[in-house]
Amino acid sequence: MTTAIALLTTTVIFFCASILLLIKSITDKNKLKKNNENEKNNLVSVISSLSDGVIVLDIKLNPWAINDAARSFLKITKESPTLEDVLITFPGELNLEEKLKEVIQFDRTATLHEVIINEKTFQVYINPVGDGKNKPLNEVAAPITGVSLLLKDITEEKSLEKMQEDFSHSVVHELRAPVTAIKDSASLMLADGLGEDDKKKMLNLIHDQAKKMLTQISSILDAAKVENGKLILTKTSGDIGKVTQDEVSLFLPEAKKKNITLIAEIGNNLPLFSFDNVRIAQAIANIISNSLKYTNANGVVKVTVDTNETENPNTLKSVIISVTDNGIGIPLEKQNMLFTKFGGQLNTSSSKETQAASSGLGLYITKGIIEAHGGKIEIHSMVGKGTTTTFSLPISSQ
Amino acid sequence: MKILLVDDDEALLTVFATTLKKHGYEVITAPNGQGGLEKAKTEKPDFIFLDQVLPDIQGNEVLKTLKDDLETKMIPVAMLSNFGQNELIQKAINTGAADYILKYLIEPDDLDAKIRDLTKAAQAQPDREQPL
Repeated sequence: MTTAIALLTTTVIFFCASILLLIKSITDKNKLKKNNENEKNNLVSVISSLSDGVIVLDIKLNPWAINDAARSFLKITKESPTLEDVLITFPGELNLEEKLKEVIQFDRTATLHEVIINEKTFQVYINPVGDGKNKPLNEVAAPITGVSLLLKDITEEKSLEKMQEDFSHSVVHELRAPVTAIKDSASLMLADGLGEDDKKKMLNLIHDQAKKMLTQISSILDAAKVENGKLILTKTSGDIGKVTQDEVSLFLPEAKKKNITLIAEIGNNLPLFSFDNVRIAQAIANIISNSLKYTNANGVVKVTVDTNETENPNTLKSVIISVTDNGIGIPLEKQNMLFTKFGGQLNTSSSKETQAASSGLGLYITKGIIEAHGGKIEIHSMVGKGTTTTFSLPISSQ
Repeated sequence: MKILLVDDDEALLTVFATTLKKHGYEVITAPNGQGGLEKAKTEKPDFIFLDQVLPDIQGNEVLKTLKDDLETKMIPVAMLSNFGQNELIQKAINTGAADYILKYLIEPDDLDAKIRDLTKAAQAQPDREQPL
């Protein structure tokens, strides 16, 4: 689709440019410089509104018109840039000058794929101007009077592609790791030389890693359900205080192992209300698990549950659940990525901070669960200070 | 012979450590890059298995630090990875890795032969320098 639009825009621009460059060549001959200037201004105003960068060069490759987008992409500030000014902005190995000459000489188009200029990625379309091939038969083909460049910014598409790639990498990594451990443990048990204790250790490992894999497969399926809006809730009346306390208890051994204090503060008089007990437990577990992962030894993770008492009796009451840690925190620029499916992923070049932001699919699923209940989730974090994740659950009788 | 295993995957550490101990090696472990660098200096292992994706410092960075340090540059390091893309392998080898091992392909009992081959190769070229 985008290619089609790009091609259409290109065609329109080149048609304009062809006519104008044709006029230019005629006017040159007639030395009507003033008219030529007017036409040039017209062309520039036509192309100036485009978000794609456009540069038109005459037959001697002198830049004849350049729009604002192209100036900004190539960081050209000169009022009348020379060919050299344009060429220098492109990666040298492209041999752009040769390509431009070829386009003129052989009257054919050329496309340069994924050209990186000033940290942005472009698709560059080079077209002859005054190309007669597309003229109706009864019209005389116009001679080639120049060449034009169209720069389409594809940086965003590329970065999305990269995120998707990172995401599949992460899924592969997370599934390969436990399978590898299972395979290797089994190999060790099949070979000779292992003592009884080690054999038992390997069996335990096979069991734990198989369980881990099943959890990861469920996460991938859950994420797919959230993505397709097919997360189905099974609501039953439940005690949110108890559900939270139970999850906290499940994480106590892990906290103890990491020497982290994990505490729960459950408010009094929490109402019984209807929610998906299993999914909410899963959401709470995801958040606690993240906090434990990014809190260092001797840190504290505190889980609180309370209602938001409001003065206005008409306002719907909610239960507010918060998990606060004094861990390593998440940099501001990563925070808005946390709840996206790709945002939390590890990539092979990521720094410590980026990795701190990686939660796999957990937060994406958690957000899906909370929102399916009509609640909201937010994260407040400061690097070096810690992170607070808070979500609300509307108290409904349904 | 002392082997240092640097990986944040506890299951892999357990399997590799059990295997290596069975083959008579002394095994020390570190769960992250910083710990790995410290143990490489203080414990002076004869061989290092280094995971490529670590929670604090990337494996390639750890490798570079090891190879830039006169005290540790002679220790053969085999990178461990779950990904086999050529560019990743090339990067590790260029940084000075003795080998690039795909975790899911190697059999634990082959680790012993790997260590012996790679330490022998390292001893055969004692003055191997990084290309400038």
